[in-house]
Amino acid sequence: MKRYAESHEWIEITSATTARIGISDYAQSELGDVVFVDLPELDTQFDAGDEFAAVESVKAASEIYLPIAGTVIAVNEALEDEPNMVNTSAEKDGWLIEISFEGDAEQLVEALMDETAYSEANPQS
Amino acid sequence: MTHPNTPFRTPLYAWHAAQGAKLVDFAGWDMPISYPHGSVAEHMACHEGCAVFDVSHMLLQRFSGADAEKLLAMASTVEPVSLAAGRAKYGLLLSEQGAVIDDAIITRDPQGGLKMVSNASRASQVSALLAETISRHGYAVQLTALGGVPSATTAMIAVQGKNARSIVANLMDDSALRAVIHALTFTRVASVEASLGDKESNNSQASKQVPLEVSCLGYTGCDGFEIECPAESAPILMDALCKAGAIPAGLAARNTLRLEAGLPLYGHELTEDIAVSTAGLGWTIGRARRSNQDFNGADTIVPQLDAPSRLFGVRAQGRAPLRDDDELVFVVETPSESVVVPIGHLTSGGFSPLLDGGIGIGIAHTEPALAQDSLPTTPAIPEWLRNNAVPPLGTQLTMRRGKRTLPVMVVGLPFVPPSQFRG
Repeated sequence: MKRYAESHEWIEITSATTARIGISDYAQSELGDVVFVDLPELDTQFDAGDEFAAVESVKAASEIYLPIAGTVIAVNEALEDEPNMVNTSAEKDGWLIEISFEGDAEQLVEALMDETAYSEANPQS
Repeated sequence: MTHPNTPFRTPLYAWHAAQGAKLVDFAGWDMPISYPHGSVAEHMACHEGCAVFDVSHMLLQRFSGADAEKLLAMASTVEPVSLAAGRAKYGLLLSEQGAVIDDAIITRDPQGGLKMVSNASRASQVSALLAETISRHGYAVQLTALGGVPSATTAMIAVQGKNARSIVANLMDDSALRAVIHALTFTRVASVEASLGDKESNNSQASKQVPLEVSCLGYTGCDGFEIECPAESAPILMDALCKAGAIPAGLAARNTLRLEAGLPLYGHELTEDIAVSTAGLGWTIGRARRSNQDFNGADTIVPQLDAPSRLFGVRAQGRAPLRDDDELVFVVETPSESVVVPIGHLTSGGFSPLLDGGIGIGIAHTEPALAQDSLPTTPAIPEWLRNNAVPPLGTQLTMRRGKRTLPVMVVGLPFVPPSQFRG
């Protein structure tokens, strides 16, 4: 199950207690060339809506918010040497972090958009 | 700046859209910020090959009439009398009060006419300055806007990079004209005729002779040219350049290139509130002009010209970019405390694709941020800080942006040495 936030993050529920998070393809195309990704430390706990990372392009620094509360269990270390993967593969190889969360996944992401609703809200030119 | 009919479109608007450019509003113009290759690839193309930029949004004016030279001599740092045909010169436009209104290139074209290229973002202020100067002195001058206006007759294209010279030269069928391009050194201007269109079709009508004015200038620090061409020929010129191996580049790459080259950008290193000397641009005012003091604001500016530049380069640790307006502080460690002394801020911050990290141009506060008597009395206070001087090369500072901090080091400008062809 994959959902999108209004602030352009995607979250993919990977098990009953874990999820992977990144920024949408639309967001990377708006940002332009990503040259630096600032990721959190492992085991950091965040609330829903907390800023957990920054994705910096040539043009601007963009704060990235966590769609649901959770604890960081993995960060995409490949982005340190190849931040541009956020551009080339925003919704796959360019993921940012993995978290563990508590509670029912369906309920936690209820307010988020599915892919159709997100792409209708953010048409790519 | 907003206009009633914005955004304006250059003669290359449709060409950019067809290339898949991302278009943004820049000073009231719909301009490409980047193309599908991305701005880092566009930047590297300039260093390793050739990048082409549409700069038709910039205000290009012709000056004619009996007092054309007098007007430019009064309103700018350039003295047109000393500008030979086929030469261009960088200068500053100055208000009567001595404020920098814009920076500009003033050219005496090979036919002897006077022209000026200034920033799109400052078009209305430049026009107001020229109108005021004309009316105050009663000059007889006609201004004709050739480019950077909605109904422009002229387009401007910057062809920059290692291969720019061979790519531009090969547009000419005539070997003598090709030789002119190969020999053109920095700030020289030549009028040539290019053969544009489909050369491979063997159809003579498909190929068209197009007059070009080629200036060995640019805003990238690299070798290359700025080319004026008739507006209607701009798309076929772009096609010919790209077919020869140039890649189109947008405003984002133009900015990272000029930042690496340490070149000032109006609104950043140059504003109405930053003195000429503070911006390190005292060199634009020659010895004769300093002694004659015969230009707008001379009585204010000339006495300040001995003051040192307050600008300096900084390089961030690691790969994080720096940003415009980032604060710079110096931390003094004493046995009992850490004293954070504000030093200045970044007039421009960004990312250098060539150095693979954050770079910026800092400006040191003119007034000391801390009173001398509030500084701790410790040998840890360096001489430059006591004297409110610019931090010397190698000084470790800290960048602060909201809650973010990053160590940065003072480095020399430019970040990347220039490679223009000076003969």
